[in-house]
Amino acid sequence: MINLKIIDLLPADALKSENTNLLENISPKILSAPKIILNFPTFMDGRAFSQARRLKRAGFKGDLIASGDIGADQARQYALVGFSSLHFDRPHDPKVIKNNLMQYPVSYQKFNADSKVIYENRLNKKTAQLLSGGGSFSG
Amino acid sequence: MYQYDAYDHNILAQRTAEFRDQVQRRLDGELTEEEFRPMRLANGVYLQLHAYMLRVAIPYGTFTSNQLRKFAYIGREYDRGYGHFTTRQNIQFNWPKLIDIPDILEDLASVEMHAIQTSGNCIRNTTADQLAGVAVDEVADPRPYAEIIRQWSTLHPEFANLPRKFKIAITGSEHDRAAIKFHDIGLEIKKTDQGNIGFKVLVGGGLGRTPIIGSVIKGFLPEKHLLSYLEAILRAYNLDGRRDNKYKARIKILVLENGIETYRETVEKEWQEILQENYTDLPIAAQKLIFKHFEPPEYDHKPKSIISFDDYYKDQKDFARWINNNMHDHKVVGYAAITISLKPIGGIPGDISSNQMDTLAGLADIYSLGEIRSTHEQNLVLAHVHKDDLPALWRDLDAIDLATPNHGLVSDIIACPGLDYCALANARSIPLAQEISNRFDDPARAEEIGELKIKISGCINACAHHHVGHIGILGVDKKGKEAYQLMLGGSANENASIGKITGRGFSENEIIDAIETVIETYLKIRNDGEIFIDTYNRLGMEPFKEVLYD
Repeated sequence: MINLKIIDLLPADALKSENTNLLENISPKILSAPKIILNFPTFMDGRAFSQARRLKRAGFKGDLIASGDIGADQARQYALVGFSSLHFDRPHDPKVIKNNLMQYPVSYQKFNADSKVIYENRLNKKTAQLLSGGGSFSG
Repeated sequence: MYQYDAYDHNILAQRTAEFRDQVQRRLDGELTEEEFRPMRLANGVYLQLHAYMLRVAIPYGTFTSNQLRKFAYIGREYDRGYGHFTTRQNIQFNWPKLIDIPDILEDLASVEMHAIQTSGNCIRNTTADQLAGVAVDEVADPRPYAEIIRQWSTLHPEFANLPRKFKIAITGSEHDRAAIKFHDIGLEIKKTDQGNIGFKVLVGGGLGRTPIIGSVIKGFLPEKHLLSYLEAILRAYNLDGRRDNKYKARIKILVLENGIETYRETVEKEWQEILQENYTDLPIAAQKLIFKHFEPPEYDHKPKSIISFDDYYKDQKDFARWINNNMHDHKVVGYAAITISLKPIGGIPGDISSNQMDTLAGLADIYSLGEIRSTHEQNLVLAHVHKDDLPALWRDLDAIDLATPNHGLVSDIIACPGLDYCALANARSIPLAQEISNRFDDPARAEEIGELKIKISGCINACAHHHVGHIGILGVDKKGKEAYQLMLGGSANENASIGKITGRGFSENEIIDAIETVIETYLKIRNDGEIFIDTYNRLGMEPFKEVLYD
């Protein structure tokens, strides 16, 4: 299960990154910040997913906070792209978050050295026995 | 074709359980419609004019007879006894009840099918050439690559809320049967002189309100870097695509506004970073596992037919007509691919009844290795038929009204659901398609007219691709009445072009006559051997305009 903190208040000392910031060139100041807040101004605005990926890729090790119009049913999505804390604008059910984080223990995509990806399981001798099929038209 | 392993099954089982819980929370009032909407859309559930609609993904348009039987069952059990094939090779059901949808998804999962990402602002089903793997002009089979894309894009957390929907099409042939120039990303498989496989990558094509032909962003992308390069395109789009205006949010506008050169540089820079990270591209061994599923079948079928193909072709005119129009060459000698037209004269384009589906599934088992394809022109294909089986297949198809010999002809019309189903439409499309089909019901006249692609959209969103019809029709609202604009000269293949409007629109009563006028004019002025689009390209709009508005 993935660990993700749910926070009630946004920390005052956190660095806020604008939603329009492409984070193409990330300064050492940003990288060394202990906490960064990325914003989802509306649920449909998914820019911060890619911003999180860029920050993690650049080596950001601090607390990455997703804030704004975020959903409990998407908790795992935030975690996979690199968020470590969630701050909700709207009411949310902790049970839904917990269930969501336990979903899909392996996924089709790999995001970092630790993430569990299906293709690695297919290639690993111990986990490859879960394979079936593989022959064309073999019913 | 691809067969699920336990990992694929597991993903689907969890997804179905997750959506069952979400539907229950919606029915219990825990979720508002606003909160529920993105969840249902992510599972292919639309709310249309009269009812919910469920769109089921058919990855790259290939499915088995058992999957078709399941569609038949769903149509019978949860719908009104039919299904509808779409222009993106999917099938949709127009009348399911919300409370039943989790059960339908469970039924689908039992045959390795789902409705994930058939709606919403995410990466949709990757479409492919319907003759993939059997086309004589093919460089390589595009389906394994489409499957690789399917897996990578399924439940991709980063790209679940893009600025707008995102569609990828892939072809293995230079002759483009997959309309790759009108997709957000179009891929054409290329082979170098040294035998290396890669892709020509196009970006920013699309139809809708602003039709644009895609631009080449990379002339040759080595196959091993397919996913990393797609990810670079998607990330750059997700970060910088417009979100201020829904109608300017597709990637085509981003490419148009920035210019392809600038966009290429942005993508290139991001791609280099992804390559360094090295998490995205599939290792060769993992890629091989997927390719194993697409090895060519043993073409060792022994036909039982007692009728000789040549004799039957000579004696039976209707059979000969069907062969002439609906048969395609096959890379294996003695075999053919056959288009099963879902455009019976006067029928609804793309519709097929549950009874027809069940019988067709049986025919696919007997004659075509149990496999069926759907096409972006809303027809089906049996891709592995022995030529000696064709007379028997034709008679069996004819018995269930699936042997209409009109592939590529005037009555092979693409139409969106229009105002009969869709909340966005301004005008009806289906009745118009039916009227045109009835007007040109004489098969000899249809053959005389030759290849002609008519596409009818009920509104500016262009779901039936009217911009790229040789004859395109667009439904508009004219002071509260349904009216139709006429376009000529569009084409969706490798010679892509966008049609031009003839002039003022036509009323519902006038439009069919106007189409007949255009066709009669073409027949008068064409040179020997020309099809409609050739004549239009040679002479332009003027001769048609003159007679339409004299």
